[in-house]
Amino acid sequence: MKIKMLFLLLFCVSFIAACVQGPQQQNGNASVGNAAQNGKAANPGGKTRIGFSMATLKEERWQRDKEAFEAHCKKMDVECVVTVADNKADKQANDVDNLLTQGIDVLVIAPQDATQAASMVEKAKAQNVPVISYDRLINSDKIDLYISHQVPVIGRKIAEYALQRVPKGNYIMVYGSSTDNNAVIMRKEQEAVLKNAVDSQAIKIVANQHITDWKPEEALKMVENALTQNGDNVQAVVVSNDGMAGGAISALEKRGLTGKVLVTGQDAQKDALQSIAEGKQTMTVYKPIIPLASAAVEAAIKLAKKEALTDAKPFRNDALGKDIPAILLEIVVVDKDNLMTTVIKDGFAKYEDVYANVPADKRPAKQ
Amino acid sequence: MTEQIKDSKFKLPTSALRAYTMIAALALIWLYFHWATGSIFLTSRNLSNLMLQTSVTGIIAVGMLMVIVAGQIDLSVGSVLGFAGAVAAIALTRWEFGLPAALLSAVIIGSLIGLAQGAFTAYLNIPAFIVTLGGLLAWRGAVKAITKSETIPIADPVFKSIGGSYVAPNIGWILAGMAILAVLAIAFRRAQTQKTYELGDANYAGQMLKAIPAIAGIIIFIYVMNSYAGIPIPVLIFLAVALLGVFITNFTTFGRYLYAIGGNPDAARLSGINNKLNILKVFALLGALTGVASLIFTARVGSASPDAGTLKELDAIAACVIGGASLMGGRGTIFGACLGALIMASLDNGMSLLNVKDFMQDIIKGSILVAAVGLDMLGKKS
Repeated sequence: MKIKMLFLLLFCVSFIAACVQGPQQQNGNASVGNAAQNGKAANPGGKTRIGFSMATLKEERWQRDKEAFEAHCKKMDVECVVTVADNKADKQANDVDNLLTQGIDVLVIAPQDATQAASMVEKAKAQNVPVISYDRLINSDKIDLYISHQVPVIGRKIAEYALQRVPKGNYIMVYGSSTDNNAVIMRKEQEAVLKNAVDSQAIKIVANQHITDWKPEEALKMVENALTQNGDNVQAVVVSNDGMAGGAISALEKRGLTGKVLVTGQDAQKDALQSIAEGKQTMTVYKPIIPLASAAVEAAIKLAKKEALTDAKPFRNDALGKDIPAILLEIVVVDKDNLMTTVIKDGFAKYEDVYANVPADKRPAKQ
Repeated sequence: MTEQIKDSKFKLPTSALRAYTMIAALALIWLYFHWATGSIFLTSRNLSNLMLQTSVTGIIAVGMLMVIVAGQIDLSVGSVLGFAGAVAAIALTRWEFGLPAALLSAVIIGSLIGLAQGAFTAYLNIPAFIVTLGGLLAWRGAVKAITKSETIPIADPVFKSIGGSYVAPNIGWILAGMAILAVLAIAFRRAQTQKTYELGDANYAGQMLKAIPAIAGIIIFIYVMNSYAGIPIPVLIFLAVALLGVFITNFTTFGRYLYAIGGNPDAARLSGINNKLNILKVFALLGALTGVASLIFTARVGSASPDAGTLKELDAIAACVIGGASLMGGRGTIFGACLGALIMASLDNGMSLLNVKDFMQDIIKGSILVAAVGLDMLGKKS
């Protein structure tokens, strides 16, 4: 009996092992083996090899980053190795070590933790590998390039949009995780935009909170409670991303307030675009991902070839008080009026998906 | 009650003492928040929200309590919650199973996962901590895989109503009536048993008197819920699950075996209890309840996201522990676990109403968890 069990277990383990090894051979393990055998020169065709260390794939947008990055690598005929750290800074440190052992020519990091990633930059630079800080800023002055969207502008644009639509009234501010540098930057920008209106008492911020890990259900509870506290007398819920906006909408829906209260967001997630089409969410911020990933790949290739980055401009990192070279791409505000001309036109979202819950006669004409 | 105290020379049974201390603690927390929020906390609207905010953790805590009583632990419930919710959402939107099948699939998936993890624990002797730690990682991976890391929105209004709609007030009163009848029937039977086992005359009046707090509780609860919008559906499900839990732990052999197994596994085995089978069952039960909770969770947020339910296992374990359960097994009550969940939710809700900063909320909750168990240990020593 026991022996049978053992065999069963053995079978299970080997089965799992087989499953796991299959797909990994394309990027991870096999190339580690190569690099270990032949040292850094292990580039068979002399192809440039780009290492891309990502913090997470849990949010939809990062999935798109990965796809766009890999697609552009293929197009430019360079090799790329992608690792994902599951939101763990320590795993990301290991990932970077592993990428460096694989003999990459340039390292692209989307950091989980802005400050901890600085030590990863040091390691790479010690091996003469140039580093690009992707989307999120690494707190290090040694990085060769920071490529992102105009993050400070995102917070500002959201707040300006809200203020323009709701110049008077009670505001609930739902900020992102307080451990995320972008969330803090967004908060400061929003506070700056709203300051005059708050001082003149045109608007009143009745609740403001950083939400741990950007969790939608925490945002839901927070908005639910803020509505209770203020007897539903709220005119705008300024939310820092689409996931949390979904939570805020659920809270408003329960009180029959959807469509009557302004709700903002960021990322242009599929569910948020649907909410905008239905009129439940007012706006979101669309950061065209494909240009970002493509520009990152192209900059990486230039760095690998030791060419100058002509389109980079100095960017002030306030935490360090130093300027670093940066490429910052434009962002786009999306609301009900321009769904067709932005996300759908770019192929970022499908017409059928965005208007899935809107009756056919109320949809705009398909282009 | 005063008589009872006199009879036993000012000594209440420890379990009752624990329950009274916790109710008192909850009352204190509520009164403080009511005062601090400017009389908002104890309005019917906020209490309705509070019960809603308790229900997901509460349902999982009921299952978790039984697992903990049996001397086991399950760290995977947060990931299983995410996975089951995602399966339901995908079954509904992508595979177009139809609503009943989609709902059922979440519960079935939950039970199957529980069954598998229970089998690994009971029959392959891998510690539950390890099996479910593996589960925590593996099922989160599975969520990311099947959702393709995208948030899956739910448009179906019936599904969504599980998370946010209310039972009509008159139906609420009918339910209250049924509950009160049930309480009276139990009291009546208790009195009769006394006679059956020749422990003296049937003390009908005494038993009825004891039933008064329960009846009053039911009436107040329904009254408060109805004066807002009625009983929220998730809360109704939570109450049903809690009652089922009380029934299982107190009135079934399976439930009593769990206490025996957790208290002393060897003694339980030698007295003829099939430890392995019962452990298997309790994990499956928790899995099924997690499936139920996942439906409410998903319906409430209105979508299934890849990180849904992270850290829920800790909420559920904390609720059990605050409620007086011992992680060594053999000790704990469903009532305590539910109260523990309510205390945690009350802290969340109250601090959120007061707009306390997120880091302070975490610090306060952590401190209260340790303090609650500390108090419990003090009480045990004396």
